[in-house]
Amino acid sequence: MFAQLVMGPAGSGKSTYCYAVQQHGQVVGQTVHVVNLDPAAERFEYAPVADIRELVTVSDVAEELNLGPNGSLIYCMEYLLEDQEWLEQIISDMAEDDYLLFDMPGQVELYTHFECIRQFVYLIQHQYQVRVCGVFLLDAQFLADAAKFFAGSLTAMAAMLHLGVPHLNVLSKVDLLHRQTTEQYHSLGTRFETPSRTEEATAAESEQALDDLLERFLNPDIPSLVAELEGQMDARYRALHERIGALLEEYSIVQFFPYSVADEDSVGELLLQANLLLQYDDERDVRVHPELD
Amino acid sequence: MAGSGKSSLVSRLVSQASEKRWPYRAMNLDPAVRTLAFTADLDIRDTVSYSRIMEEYRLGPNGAILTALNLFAAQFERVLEYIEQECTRTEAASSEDKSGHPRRAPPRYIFFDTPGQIEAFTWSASGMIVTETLAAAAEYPTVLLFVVDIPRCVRNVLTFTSNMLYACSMLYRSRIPLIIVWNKQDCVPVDDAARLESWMRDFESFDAELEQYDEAARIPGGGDYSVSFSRSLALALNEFYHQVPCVFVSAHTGEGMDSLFEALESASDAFEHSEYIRQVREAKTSSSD
Ligand SMILES: Nc1nc2c(ncn2[C@@H]2O[C@H](COP(=O)(O)OP(=O)(O)O)[C@@H](O)[C@H]2O)c(=O)[nH]1
Ligand SMILES: Nc1nc2c(ncn2[C@@H]2O[C@H](COP(=O)(O)OP(=O)(O)O)[C@@H](O)[C@H]2O)c(=O)[nH]1
Ligand SMILES: [Mg+2]
Ligand SMILES: [Mg+2]
Repeated sequence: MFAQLVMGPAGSGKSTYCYAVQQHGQVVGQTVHVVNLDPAAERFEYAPVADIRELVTVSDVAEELNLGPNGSLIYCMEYLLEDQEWLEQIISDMAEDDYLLFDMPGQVELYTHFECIRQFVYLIQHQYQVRVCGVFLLDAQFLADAAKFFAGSLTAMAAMLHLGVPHLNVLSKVDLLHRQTTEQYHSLGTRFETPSRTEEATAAESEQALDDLLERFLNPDIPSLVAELEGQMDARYRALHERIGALLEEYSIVQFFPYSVADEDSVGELLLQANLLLQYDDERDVRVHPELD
Repeated sequence: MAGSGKSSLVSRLVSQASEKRWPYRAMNLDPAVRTLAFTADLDIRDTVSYSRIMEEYRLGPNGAILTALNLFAAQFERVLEYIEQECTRTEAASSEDKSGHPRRAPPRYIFFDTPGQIEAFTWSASGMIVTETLAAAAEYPTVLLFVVDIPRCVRNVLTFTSNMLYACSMLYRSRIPLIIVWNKQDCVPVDDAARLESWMRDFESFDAELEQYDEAARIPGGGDYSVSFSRSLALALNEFYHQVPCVFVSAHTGEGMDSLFEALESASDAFEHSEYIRQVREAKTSSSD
């Protein structure tokens, strides 16, 4: 069995991503089941194969045990691990090469601070032989410059280090970035208006600006990011930028894959990348063509 | 992080400030807190009701916290007006305070308590608006206190590392001075605090501790754990500790608070001389041309 743990801050687009991947799976003939593991989930469009809220919800816990939102969430996740029957039922209903997405809660503390998600990963890997990768989403609007890019990478790393599974970083909602750069270029256009500038030229430029930006996330060049940071922060941080840059490179998390739900190609690319991490296709080929093994 | 003792720390800062007769104001930005350990001069709960938002917008706890913060950030101008008004209070007005309490004088410190869930503040537009309005728009020396739970970190070096990486991420995201506040010192034996310090000081002991973990034995990118990865990690964090002040305190007993106030003074100085504020001022002059 294969699974993606879909993580990221609240509102980063986890649930939407699960839906998009499930839809895309249908198109390319890869069945994708989604399990909602966010006990405080509000709404999502996918049809879940299982939903933790059948077992326990944050609002019930908050009410019954008089806990705050955080305490309630931790309680729910620990409950999931204690009462393994529910999880066992889901897994035993699956076929050997089924593919699961776990739509996870957004609280970063769960990954960096508490043990429950770590234990969950350990459990499904070792007890149920599920092959797991992490997908960490960050809203593109929050990664607009070198300093924020470092911040985002470090946040993803803080979460991932704890879990120890292969992972993908995803820059979500890049369509909004597009709108932003377009607006920026339009406002620049009006500020420095020159008679020769046409609407199309501005549009083309904004397209180019977006491409440049995305290119930087896909193939980040650490020295140039460090140079940009030197302009943004005090000189005494220079060695820090360099060492963090080296660390990000070493940890292979410098790369972010741009994605928006509206862009089916980007969804397909992510599924492909995740499948690579999970060695999903290798495994399937072996089963379909045993002679290849 | 949730439960690391942010509210308790604010409460301790408040009580120390009044003992020292340093005027201050305290603000609560956690819409979901039930009982607050200090008296807030401004409380987000007075402006927006978390439970009403849950009902009205049909949101769960997370969405409601984010929405409450957004609504509050949208009118942060008013908070700024309040602060300005408090800062320009004349001595005459403050001496009217019959309790003789220094609290009403123009504040030397303003403490903000933030929501339990860290990313609600650190990875949201509203958290950014609040910090940027204070630091860039109003140019108040603004300092982030990153409160870390000693007992949790000392138990597991990965938790320690994740917390430090997250703190480092905050430094980059905000670009304003940051202080690491190791809290709950009273909960652990002296040896434990020393262990944390040795992880921060000494590459070898950090590395040795890290190697005990299976999970760290693989780089999540897919490759194998390599000496160079743990070395890069240790080097990066080491440099971080060199640049970022760190204090050990107990919000419960009050130990270490004097060094925290000292660190606050230096950080406020660092803010005044930072590249950040220089650029903010430069941008303002060039846009007013
Ligand atoms: N423009 C745009 N909006 C998105 C995208 N993905 C998600 N959203 C919106 O972002 C909000 C949060 O998405 P959701 O999937 O619920 O986030 P979650 O809290 O991480 O599960 C919703 O209003 C979504 O419609 C995207 O690719 N582009
Ligand atoms: N022993 C001890 N407990 C503390 C200390 N600071 C906070 N706590 C406890 O830790 C828990 C969480 O504290 P709180 O201030 O609400 O954390 P917040 O969620 O970060 O605001 C409470 O039970 C506090 O009593 C401390 O210095 N020592
Ligand atoms: Mg969701
Ligand atoms: Mg609190």
